[in-house]
Amino acid sequence: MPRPAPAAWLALGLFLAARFLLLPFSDALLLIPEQDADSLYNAAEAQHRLSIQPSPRVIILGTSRLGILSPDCVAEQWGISTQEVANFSIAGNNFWRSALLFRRNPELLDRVDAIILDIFPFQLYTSILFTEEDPFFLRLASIEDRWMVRDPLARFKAFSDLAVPLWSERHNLVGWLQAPTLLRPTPRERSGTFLRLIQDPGSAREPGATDKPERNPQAQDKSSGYAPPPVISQIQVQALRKLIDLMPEGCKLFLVWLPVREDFDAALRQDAALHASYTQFRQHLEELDSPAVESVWLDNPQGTLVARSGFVDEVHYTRQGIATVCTLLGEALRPALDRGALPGVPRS
Amino acid sequence: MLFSSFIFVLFLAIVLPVYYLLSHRLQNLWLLLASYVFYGYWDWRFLSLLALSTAVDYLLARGMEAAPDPRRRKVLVALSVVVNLGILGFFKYFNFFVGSAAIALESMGMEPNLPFLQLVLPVGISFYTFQSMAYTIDVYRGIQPATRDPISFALYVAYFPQLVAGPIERATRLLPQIQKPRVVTQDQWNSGAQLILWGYVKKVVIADGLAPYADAAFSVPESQSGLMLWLGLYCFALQIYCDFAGYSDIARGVSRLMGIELMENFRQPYFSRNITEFWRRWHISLSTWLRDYLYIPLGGNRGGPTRQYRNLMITMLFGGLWHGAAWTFVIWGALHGLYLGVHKYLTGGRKIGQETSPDTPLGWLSYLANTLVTFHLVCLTWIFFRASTLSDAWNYLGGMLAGVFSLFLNGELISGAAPTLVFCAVLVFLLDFGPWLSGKETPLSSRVPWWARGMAYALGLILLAYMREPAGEVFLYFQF
Repeated sequence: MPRPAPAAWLALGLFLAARFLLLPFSDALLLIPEQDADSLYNAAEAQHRLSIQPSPRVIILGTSRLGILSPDCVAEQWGISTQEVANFSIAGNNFWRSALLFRRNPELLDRVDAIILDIFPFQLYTSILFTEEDPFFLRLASIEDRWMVRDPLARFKAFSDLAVPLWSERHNLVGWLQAPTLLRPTPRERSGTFLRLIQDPGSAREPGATDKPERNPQAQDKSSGYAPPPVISQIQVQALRKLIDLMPEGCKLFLVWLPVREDFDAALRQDAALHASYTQFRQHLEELDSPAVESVWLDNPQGTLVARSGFVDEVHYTRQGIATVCTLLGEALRPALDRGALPGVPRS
Repeated sequence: MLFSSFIFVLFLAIVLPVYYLLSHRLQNLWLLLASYVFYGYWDWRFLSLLALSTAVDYLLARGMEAAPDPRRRKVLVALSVVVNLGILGFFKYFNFFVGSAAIALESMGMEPNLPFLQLVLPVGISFYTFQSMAYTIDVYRGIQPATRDPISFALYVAYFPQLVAGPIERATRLLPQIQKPRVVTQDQWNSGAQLILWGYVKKVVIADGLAPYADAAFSVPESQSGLMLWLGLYCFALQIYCDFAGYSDIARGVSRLMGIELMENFRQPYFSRNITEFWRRWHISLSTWLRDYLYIPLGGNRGGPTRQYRNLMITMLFGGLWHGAAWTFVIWGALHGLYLGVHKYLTGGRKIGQETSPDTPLGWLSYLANTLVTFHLVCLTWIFFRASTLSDAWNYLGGMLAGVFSLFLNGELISGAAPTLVFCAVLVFLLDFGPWLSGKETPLSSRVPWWARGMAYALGLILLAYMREPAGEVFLYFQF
């Protein structure tokens, strides 16, 4: 059987050397991801690193629904200062990205008393918003995450990518030309540069995932995007467990089902596919048995909690709507505060 | 499965080691099985079509050999042509001809109600039907004896490295290699691996890197600036070359690792000084197939210049139609037929000799001018080749011509297309200039020191790992 020539061995050695050289710069070369949720994650992280208060007491880590929730409103509800509240809500956020934020930025948990996650079925399932072959996932997944990849071929790819980043660290030429601007000596400077880049429409975005399920960003039926078929992602399940394990003593993780528009609320109960998605999701979360977790379900049949005028679509709020939600959150979490679950937060 | 997919790498990682462990007879069986798995991975239903084409031509060839009567032999070869072209025509051209007939009838005031079929085009059908047909025609002509080994013949038709996008092999070249035992030498392994590496660089780094810009320009040409249309055209010119040539290099490299030599399909075509030379360097397996099985039987260059021009035009029209069932491809073929006819006229019909590189400064200047003109003439045809409709093609051309003046007048910002195009053009030059000059097939000959070759290979690997547009860019020629 033929053997590789000396030139081939040299090529392999040089390639591996280049790979290891670029490994510590993985973060610095983290350009703007193709998927909005991922780029917003990076922006949230950058925002945290630039914040004057790196260890808040209340962290809102919701989805796009809580993106417009003002820290002022939450602070007022709980009688704490605005600086103690940080909102890292990310469109399309899920349990994996939430756990990732805390894994990469553990100082966030130094003083935290409460973490509020708004929950939705898509967060637990494999869908267009999250697959095990997203370049972002492949770049930042832990070894454990990669073991949890369900499909054997995808799992093999997840581990291969550690050695040869064929999926996670590809950049087009324009991206490579842009990369040196991110090579700043400190994370704070890189964060500042990154935030400037992400606001510039001319900035290059990274290529998206391979073998991705067909995406329809203008989904005619958004409902099925919010509550996709219940194909549970073990990575998300594990991430939720990890999130719970990360909670420092005395900190509470609030998983909050926020009100949805009344027609969508009805659809979740009546449409077979949506109902299956919602029911399995709710069941999974209600079965979580941890003193650090509290589930809050703010159902909205007939718009009793938030009227139709409070919504811009089935799930997102107007300014009036989010103000109502803020009050509802305060009221819903008040019992926990009064039980002394959060020693740092004043009781009513 | 795409050559640039992970599953193909796994496929090869299984096929090759087992291949090396087997005896010759078992190697052929193994390769045949692997080839059917390879093809069936796309759509297992079309394996029956592949098997049908194989069985028909095998039996017809055997029949021809057993038939001393020339008329019977003629009937059998005609049957092979009818069956192969029939399969191809049905799956590829049925709706095209029905659609064209409907338009023609409507223009005459009729309201036709012609049936359209929902057909899936089997991958590679244009390639394997031509390859199989060439075998029966060669048997008819007495050039190739009919094989009595069905396994060897089935492997000749289905051989996976070249099954779905060529090169279109000849039985006289490929069958003997299949039928006799093979030994893979160290040199074959080294050069095969090199071909694979550069093939992937061409496909994954260059072609896929340029694809988004070409697609952006061609998708809505009327909303693009003149500069972007020019850039988009150049991007496509390099994209289609590197996509197809890259595939061919990978196919040849993989095949060489198994001790089987496939024909060279591209020889630095954009270094051509004239259109005749271009067709000696571009998709060589198809151009020689068309020459041997269409142009020459039509009469070739016999019967005077008018007849020759006619034969050239018919051949190129057929070549255009081979690429796709659309009038844009027919126009593409017609333009090349026109170019070839004009070139024949300008050269007075004399035979164009073997091309050599210039050896004086003036020679280089002349060469450069001729090459640029030829390249742009070819680019003009790419507009029709790439555009979705004739209307889009005319819009594109119009936008480019109008944009010529704005190239120098407006302060167009350098978009992502320009640096990517320059970078890819430099890569293409680096990959092709050496082989063009030396006549060798790879950019690095064995005379280059091993450490320099190692560094160049490392650069290729780094480019592959770190510079890539999203996968899913199909090999363009798969649609043929």
